[in-house]
Amino acid sequence: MIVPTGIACSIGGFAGDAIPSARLIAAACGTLITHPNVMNGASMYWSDPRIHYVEGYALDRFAAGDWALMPRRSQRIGLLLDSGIEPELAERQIQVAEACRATLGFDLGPVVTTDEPLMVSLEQGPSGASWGCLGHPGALLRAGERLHEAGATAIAVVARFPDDVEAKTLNAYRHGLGVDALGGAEAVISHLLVRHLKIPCAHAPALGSLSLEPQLDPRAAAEELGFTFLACVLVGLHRAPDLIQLPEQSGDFAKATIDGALIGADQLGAVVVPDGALGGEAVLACLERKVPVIAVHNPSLLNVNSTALGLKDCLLHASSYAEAAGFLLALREGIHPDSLMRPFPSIHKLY
Amino acid sequence: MTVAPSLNIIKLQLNYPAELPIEKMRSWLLSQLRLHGEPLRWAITSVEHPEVGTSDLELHLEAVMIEEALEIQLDK
Repeated sequence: MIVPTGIACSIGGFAGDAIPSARLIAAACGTLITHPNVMNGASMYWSDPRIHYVEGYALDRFAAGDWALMPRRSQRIGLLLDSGIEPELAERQIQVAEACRATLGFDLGPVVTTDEPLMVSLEQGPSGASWGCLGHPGALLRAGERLHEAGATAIAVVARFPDDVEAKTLNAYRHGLGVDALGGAEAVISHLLVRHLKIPCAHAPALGSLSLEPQLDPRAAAEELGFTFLACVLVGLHRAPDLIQLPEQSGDFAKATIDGALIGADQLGAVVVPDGALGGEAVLACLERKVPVIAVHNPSLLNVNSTALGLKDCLLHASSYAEAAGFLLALREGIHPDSLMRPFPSIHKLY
Repeated sequence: MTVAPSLNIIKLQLNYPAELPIEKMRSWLLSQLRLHGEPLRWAITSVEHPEVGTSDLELHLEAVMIEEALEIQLDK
């Protein structure tokens, strides 16, 4: 299940507000592979052994058949802090990690601070999607290497984000109308680290606290509950699968996926994606591999839909995630979705 | 010696040849993106259909690209 970050999806464009849909999809399909933007709700989270938390870059590599996933009971999560975070705000992050150790029983540590501030900057593309960059990406990679060498098998990153998100953009988001201005830069940070280390990573921003907003949209409310956005990331990473790079000739690995040790792209039963967001790498990889695509009505800034791409007959169109769950059940039970629809066309004859 | 990457955000407009099927789109786009560096995060963000003369798809992409260099520390 994919809900791209930073494109203002009506469901999943806010603070973990696609979690109910993900829970339903997981129940329908039995094994759900999805990414942090779907599962991260700041102080709110949901853990389900059927849901595999896979960062977006790894998800793209998985869908393309380059990497496989190896489920784990738990990860040892290293905490990577941007040295641009003020001491008090950094201490708040460490206390979340301590809480996850003491209250949830996680294996967490060590903590490493970057040798120079990451200098996160935010941008919006011509489409309105949020993007972002790092002034010092090498500092991120060096800190990640130190954690990995110290035994971390997964990494939670907390970077200082600028407080000066344009007031108009922030207000629109808090009122349920705008794009998550931070999402694009968050994805760039985690993509870079996962690409470099090939271990599970996810990101939480560090931000100064906001004043009370009485007209807050419920979908953004999870972000207003605490001092940090880290708890959901640690919960997601705790049982994230290992990332296994497949060799070009992956005969042994194909056997491993058949034996059940690994999850490979050849086991994908379907991909569920917003109907206007078909232009990402994972979806295109699924189309390449002829994996069924379920395009769900979930309005966003983008209109890269089946009509635009000339894909009318290749997809299943769902009006909601509830309908998508029904399609998944049908596929799982070997029921052709056409037989559930009316009018029901006659069999195709070749002459 | 560590990798010292730099990141750039780019916008591209590409005409996807009408004769290529959707199954070829990802690899074709990657080959086009790699002319500008190594793609880290990218997506098609809009599609237009030119009115006359071609049935190619006009694809608009936004991407974050990596340029990598090795950072070598010399002994003092």
